Amino acid sequence: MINFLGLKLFYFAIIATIIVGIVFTIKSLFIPLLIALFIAMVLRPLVIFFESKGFSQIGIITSIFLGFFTLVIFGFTILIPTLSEQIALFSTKVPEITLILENKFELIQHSLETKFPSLEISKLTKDFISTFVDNLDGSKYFSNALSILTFSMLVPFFAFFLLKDMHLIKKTLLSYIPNRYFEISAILFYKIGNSIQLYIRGQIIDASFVGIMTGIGLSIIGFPFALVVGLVAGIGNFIPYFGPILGAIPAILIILVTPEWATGSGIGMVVGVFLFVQVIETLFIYPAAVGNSVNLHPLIVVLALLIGGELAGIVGMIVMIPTVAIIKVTFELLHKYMMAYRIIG
Amino acid sequence: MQINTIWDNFFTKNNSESILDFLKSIDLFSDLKIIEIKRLERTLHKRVYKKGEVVFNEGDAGAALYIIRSGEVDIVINNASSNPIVLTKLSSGMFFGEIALFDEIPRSATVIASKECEIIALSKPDFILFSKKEPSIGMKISMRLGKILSARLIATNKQIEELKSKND
Repeated sequence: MINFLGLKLFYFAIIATIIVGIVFTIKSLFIPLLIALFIAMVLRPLVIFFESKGFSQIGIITSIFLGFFTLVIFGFTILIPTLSEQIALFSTKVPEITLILENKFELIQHSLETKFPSLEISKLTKDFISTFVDNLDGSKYFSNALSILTFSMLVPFFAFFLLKDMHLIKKTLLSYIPNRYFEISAILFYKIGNSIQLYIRGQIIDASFVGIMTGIGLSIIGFPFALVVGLVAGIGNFIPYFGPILGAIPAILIILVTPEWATGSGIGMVVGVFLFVQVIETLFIYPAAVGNSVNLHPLIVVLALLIGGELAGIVGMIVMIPTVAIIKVTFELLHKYMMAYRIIG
Repeated sequence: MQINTIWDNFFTKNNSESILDFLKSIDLFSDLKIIEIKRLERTLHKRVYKKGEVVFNEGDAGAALYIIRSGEVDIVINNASSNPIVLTKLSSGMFFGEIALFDEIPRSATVIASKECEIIALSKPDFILFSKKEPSIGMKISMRLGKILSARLIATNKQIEELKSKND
């Protein structure tokens, strides 16, 4: 006769072992899992909408993923050649840009060293540059933790199951909550999930607007590598306060190495495009898409960027901001509802 | 019990006949077909309360409706001038806390398990989400709940009238 409890304990031990294994490799799984969670949260309303129209959940999720992959392949065949051409061409310019930057740095360094000889400026700047370049290198994360291929397979895999079984995961977690905290937990799951969903969706809309409009604007004025600059501006937009500045760095570097754009009118046109996009984004897009629900203090943003950079380079820096925003929303709602349920005074 | 919960959620078919039949017998879900109850059942939470355990306290924020599957609960109100008063007892098949599905007003009474209870909970967030996914089922439940609440209101008005006429 099969000992049912023994069998269950055996399976429970297997699950526990898997969880321990996951914890040990958490660093390499943390970022894909987080991105998958973001994707699942953004796509969830779409799944609910089609479910309300009578479609089966599994059919909807499969269609969304198939549609997404078709879009990616389509993007690769249409847009990516131009973009990758620009990236390849831009990378050939990198040594030239580096040389110009080095010359400028040396000039500043020399003048500082003559004024403050005790500061060992050359050592400090070398350390700073090497750390900065090291942090900016996204490949550091991929080569150390996972290959891009594994990464790009893990994210949709996690996202698919998170989307499909989110309610089961939530139900299981709630079943472990003591009766006294059942209601507050149920409402917190909902409110936190909702806030995060709105925040991430808003950020994606906002960043897409900035990226696309910058790309289009710069293409119209005939600026070189317009798509690359637009892409960086869009990604940079995920970072509050510093995003617009970081997003403008490639444009500044291109101006530095392109004499025909290093003129008053050239700089004016580029600044005009960036200003126009930022003004529209600040006045209309950001308030409508993101709102004031998650305002992060500049100091928190800097700390999050440093920790994210330390964990996983540029990928970590971008992912860490929404993560901190999620933690902030969670604590705010936790405090509010603990008061409402008189758990705290 | 916790191991069973994992099993219930992931490895076994938890739509057992008995729970579906039980839910079908509840007045609140009497308009639903068995297939609709099956869909709703996925969003419900089974909770077990020991004798004397508080389900919720008067004045707390409310976020769930509870259906008693087995056992019994006391509905209690706290009176500042006297001991807590037991308003009524509810037993298997009855439900309470339904206002929480529609309003955020604090709970009007305390509910305590007077015997060990198995209670099925429908949380407000789950009901909102379920109504978005299954609007027709959500509408049936809301309509039924509206009828039950209006019947209760009529009964309460009659009681008030009777008490008034007695006092006069």
